Amino acid sequence: MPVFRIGHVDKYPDDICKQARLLGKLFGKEERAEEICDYLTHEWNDIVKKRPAEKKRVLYSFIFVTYVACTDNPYSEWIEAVGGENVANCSGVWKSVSKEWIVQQNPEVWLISYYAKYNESTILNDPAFRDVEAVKNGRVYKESYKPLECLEPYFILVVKEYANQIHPEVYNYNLTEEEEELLREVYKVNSEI
Amino acid sequence: MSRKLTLAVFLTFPIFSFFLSVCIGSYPIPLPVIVEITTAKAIKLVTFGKLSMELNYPQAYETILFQIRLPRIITAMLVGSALAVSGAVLQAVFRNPLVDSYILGISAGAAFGAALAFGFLAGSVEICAFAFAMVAVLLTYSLAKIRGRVTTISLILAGIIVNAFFSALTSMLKFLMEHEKLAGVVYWLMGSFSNADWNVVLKVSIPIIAGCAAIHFMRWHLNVLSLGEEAQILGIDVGKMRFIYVMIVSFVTAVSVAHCGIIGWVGLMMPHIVRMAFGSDHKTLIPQSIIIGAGFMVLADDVARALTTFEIPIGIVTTLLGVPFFVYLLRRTGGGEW
Repeated sequence: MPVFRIGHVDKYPDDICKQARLLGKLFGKEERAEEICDYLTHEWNDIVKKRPAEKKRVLYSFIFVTYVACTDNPYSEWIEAVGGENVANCSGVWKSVSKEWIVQQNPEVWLISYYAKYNESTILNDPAFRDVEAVKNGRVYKESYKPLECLEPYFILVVKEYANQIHPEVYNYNLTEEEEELLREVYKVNSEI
Repeated sequence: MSRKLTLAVFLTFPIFSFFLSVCIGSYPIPLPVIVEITTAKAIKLVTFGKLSMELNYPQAYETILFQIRLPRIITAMLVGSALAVSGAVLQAVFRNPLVDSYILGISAGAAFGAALAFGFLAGSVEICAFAFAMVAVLLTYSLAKIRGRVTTISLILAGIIVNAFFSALTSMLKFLMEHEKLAGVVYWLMGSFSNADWNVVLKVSIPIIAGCAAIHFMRWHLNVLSLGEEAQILGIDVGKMRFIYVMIVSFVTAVSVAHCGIIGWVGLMMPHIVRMAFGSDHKTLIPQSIIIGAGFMVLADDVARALTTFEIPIGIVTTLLGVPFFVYLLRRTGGGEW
């Protein structure tokens, strides 16, 4: 019996496209799958093309401030796609670190997971982080979009948000318009309805 | 080793642990610099800011010492004391050497509260974990009360029931939860001091110090209570005293667990170490458990934060240290004495 598995993404956006094509084949919507794939690839390439050579040091905090994304994490790949460099250079997906380690790494931009129960002010008001570049410059941002599962096309919106936050001098996406476009192009939904 | 020397080792152990921990961390700060910065801070504090030393070090050094390491060390010491003394008290109350502070369902209740807060509620994880830890203890006590009496056996059995009940509920929540949130619950369950700051110190210090002080001043009763129901003949209201002790230790354990997650083995190991050195008299056992619990926990946390580049959850460290200790204890006593 032919079996295939979807859900694993090693490389963006190629693996997303591969899965979209598989689903297209399965449900007889190959043309539609190709359209979605073209949209995502175009958007991804557009982001990567503009990426500046200078990399910003970025930290991504998850459920706890000291629980951070490692380089094997999809979030890390998205950060690198927009010209960031994940300071948590560890194997695996998440790792626990100390506050001291964060001060030592001194990230320039600090991203917080959508799922976190804390927000920017928790980090900005913590005296332990007052010497961190990201805190001194107020560059601590909480994700506004729920990435859902990392294999969903919605990831592209999260990447665009990272782009605005990490390199605002290069990227200036209007995220409301980008979301409307994504809903229209991929999900065939009009957000105004 | 003579008793006096052993006592000196025990008393200096937390002081040694404290100073060692101040010097350990992933951010390298030279020892002379630590001494200089600490001296400058002490002078400023003692003279109410009238005298101050000019230091040319990065501001980050001071932040790391006074905003990160110090609150973390103090939190670890307080929690270590709380868990150790809770274990010592419950072992006396239950007359069972294998009892620790989690026997009454505190850890299972706290885990359920934390999982609920992570996955489904907007409220604070600490408050939810604390509330359910206390609910679990009260439930255990209510279940154990049969015909108006609470016996040791009924309390232990009720604890097992409540532990199983909350563990099942936690598993259910984990099953229903989004996997991103599940990662947070798993991390929390393993325990950590990495988020300790002065706010946490403030929140845990008052209940833990008050609880430890209360137990310390009432420690005489534990010798009688450890006789079991026979204590009644000596004029002790066993039921009432047992309730008071259980509520105090449950409170301090719940406060600790709510802020630092589940840290096992400390409540089991520390009282045994003290007993091996000084015997079972609670007059000595209680203060020494408080002292050695503080020292041990801060050293275990040093291992957790300094052994590798990234942090090892403290619950793993205490368990890895606890297992060989118990093997040793089993071999030494033959499993028959305590």
